[in-house]
Amino acid sequence: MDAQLKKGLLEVCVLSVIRNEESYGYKIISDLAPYIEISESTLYPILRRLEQSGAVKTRCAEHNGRLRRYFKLTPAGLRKIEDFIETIDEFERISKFILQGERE
Amino acid sequence: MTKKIWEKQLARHLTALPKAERKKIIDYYREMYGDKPEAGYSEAEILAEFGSPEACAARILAEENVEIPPKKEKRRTPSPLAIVGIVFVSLILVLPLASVAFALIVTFFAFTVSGTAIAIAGVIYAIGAPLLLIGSLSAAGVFAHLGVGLTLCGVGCLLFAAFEPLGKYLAIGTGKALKFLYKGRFF
Repeated sequence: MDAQLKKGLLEVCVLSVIRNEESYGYKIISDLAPYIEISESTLYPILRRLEQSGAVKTRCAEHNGRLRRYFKLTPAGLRKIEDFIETIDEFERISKFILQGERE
Repeated sequence: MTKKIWEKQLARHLTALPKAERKKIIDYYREMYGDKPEAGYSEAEILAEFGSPEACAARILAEENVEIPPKKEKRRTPSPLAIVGIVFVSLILVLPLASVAFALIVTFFAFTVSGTAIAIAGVIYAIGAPLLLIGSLSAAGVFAHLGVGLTLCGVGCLLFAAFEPLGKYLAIGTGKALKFLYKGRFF
């Protein structure tokens, strides 16, 4: 998959994982692993970008005597997911067009 | 590789980033490292999944748009300022050490010479005095002078034998004193 396209998709995937409840690094990777390839060093910059853009907010909490950072979706993050859903129709049209061209 | 070494190497490859950002990244990997064993991963498996610290840092730096500076080649010849510095430090370090070493050699030499001189003087006196004074001295006087000479010779030999351990302890003591004086600076 194209790197830029994947980067954009991963951002929305991460936001979707924390849509209903806050989550932490390892769980985000585990939840996404069945759908898209993602590693620790791929996730870190995504989380950082999302935090900087205000799409997620973070809090630290103790877990088994160590700190764990939790990520929570913000209204800005939710808008990002909705924007992506809106573009899915457009994606479908484009992909159909590309597939048609391949058949001809 | 252990977790500690992995973290250290990662931090070293991230020096282009601000300290606070570096800490965040290390904390992130620490958290991952803490969570994975709960899912049944071993240390080796976790580190293998993380990949090499260099590759991890490269990915993060690429995302941050930080250019990785090419490794600087080590200078083969030191700058003139460095040479002056080295000479200056060497003088401060070497001068007192050289002075002490020189003083030790002189002391050894003096002790050896004086011990030998006393022994030789004793021999000369033991032989010479009775011979020179043979006409004017009684048999008892000759033996008395011979005894004094031999005593001197014995004292000289004893001193000569004692100077070796004395010199050794002096050298060890000086070494300890220097170590104490330069503790934390050169030793």
